[in-house]
Amino acid sequence: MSKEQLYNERVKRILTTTNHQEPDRVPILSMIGSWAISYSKMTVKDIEDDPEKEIEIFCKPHEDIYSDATYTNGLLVDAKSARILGSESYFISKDGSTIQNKEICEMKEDEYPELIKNPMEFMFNKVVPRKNTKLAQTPEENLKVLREFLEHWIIKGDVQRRLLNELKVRHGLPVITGPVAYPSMDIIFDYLRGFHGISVDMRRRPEELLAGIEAVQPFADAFLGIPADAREVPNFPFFATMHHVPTFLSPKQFEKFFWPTYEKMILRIHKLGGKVIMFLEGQWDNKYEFLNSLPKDFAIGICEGDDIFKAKKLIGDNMTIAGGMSLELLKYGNKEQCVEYAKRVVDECAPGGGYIFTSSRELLSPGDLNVENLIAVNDYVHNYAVYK
Amino acid sequence: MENEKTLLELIDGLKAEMDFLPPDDNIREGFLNVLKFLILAI
Repeated sequence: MSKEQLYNERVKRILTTTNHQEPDRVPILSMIGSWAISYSKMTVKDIEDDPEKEIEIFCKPHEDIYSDATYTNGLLVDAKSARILGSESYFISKDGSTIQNKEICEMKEDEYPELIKNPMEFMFNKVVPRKNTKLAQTPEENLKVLREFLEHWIIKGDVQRRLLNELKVRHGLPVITGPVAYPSMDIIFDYLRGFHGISVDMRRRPEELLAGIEAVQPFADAFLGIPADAREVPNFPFFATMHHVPTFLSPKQFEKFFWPTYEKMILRIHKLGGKVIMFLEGQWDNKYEFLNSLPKDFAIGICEGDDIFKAKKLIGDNMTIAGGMSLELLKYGNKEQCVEYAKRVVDECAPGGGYIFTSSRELLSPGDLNVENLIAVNDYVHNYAVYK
Repeated sequence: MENEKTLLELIDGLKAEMDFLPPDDNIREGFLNVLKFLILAI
């Protein structure tokens, strides 16, 4: 079988299960993030010195670890970008193997009227220069920095495009996430007000926060990248959301602040024939009614903190469940314990389709797991989880 | 004049420097939106 045939077979396997039909076997997703760097015995600095290395680094794990798809494509953010812009938000870890993030949210609580009035001008002319010191200079100096940033992303964008292709032609491996559906409340949470700020805003200035979320939505829509005149979108790869604030919200807060704009955004994707994969960060079991209100077979949810067996029972008829393989067990358990647990996950979650086997968390740091355990469970599931 | 432009205007101006992309406005606009998002996120 050619790599292209293998790629197509895997995409079909994934799409079949997301339609709640049983494919030939349970698809296996690898959640390989910056962990690939240490696995390849490289450092983030190696990539900065030679961007081409990102291709080798993110292909390397797939020489040894079986999977039918991988979650993302290389490093989504990098420390060099932060240095170019004069920001401290992203930096290289002390051991040199990962990218770390520091929350820097510079919007003040009394600035909602400005955000609401003109979100783009407020975010870029006022907030961005506060945290990116090199964009707080004269226009001429700012332009020089922006051009350096553009040059960096031309190279990085080209590397990511070629990495995507290398995964396909070398390993027959699709990347499951495509364009990002970024919730507008998460934009305010992640980049403007932060954890403390938005927690206070929900109580002290809820109407302003709501109006701010509405105001930011066109920016989220633009990032989604669907042209206004689009009549359809591809059904693969999936549009992706990495949820951040929902796990900290009560169901009432979620319903009031988060869901209206997010639901509207993703239902547009559904209307155009696409699907959404959601990384359900933290705990989501008090918000299942919202997930069950989505169109059937539209969404795929990667369960991070939820009990996968309960999730399968409570939301698994409506959406595809991904996850189940405890990263903690992969780190601290032995091979037999891991395989035994993987068998239970498959036995309970796979019947009827609507299930993708993967680890409960993304792999980021060298010590995140014992890789021998991951190799063992993925090989086991690949051979065992065959639909009759 | 470049020296009178706001940061947002300068960022929008990068679209005219994207000759490495096909001359498709949707593609260039898409790349610009990704850059904007990165600048806000970083």
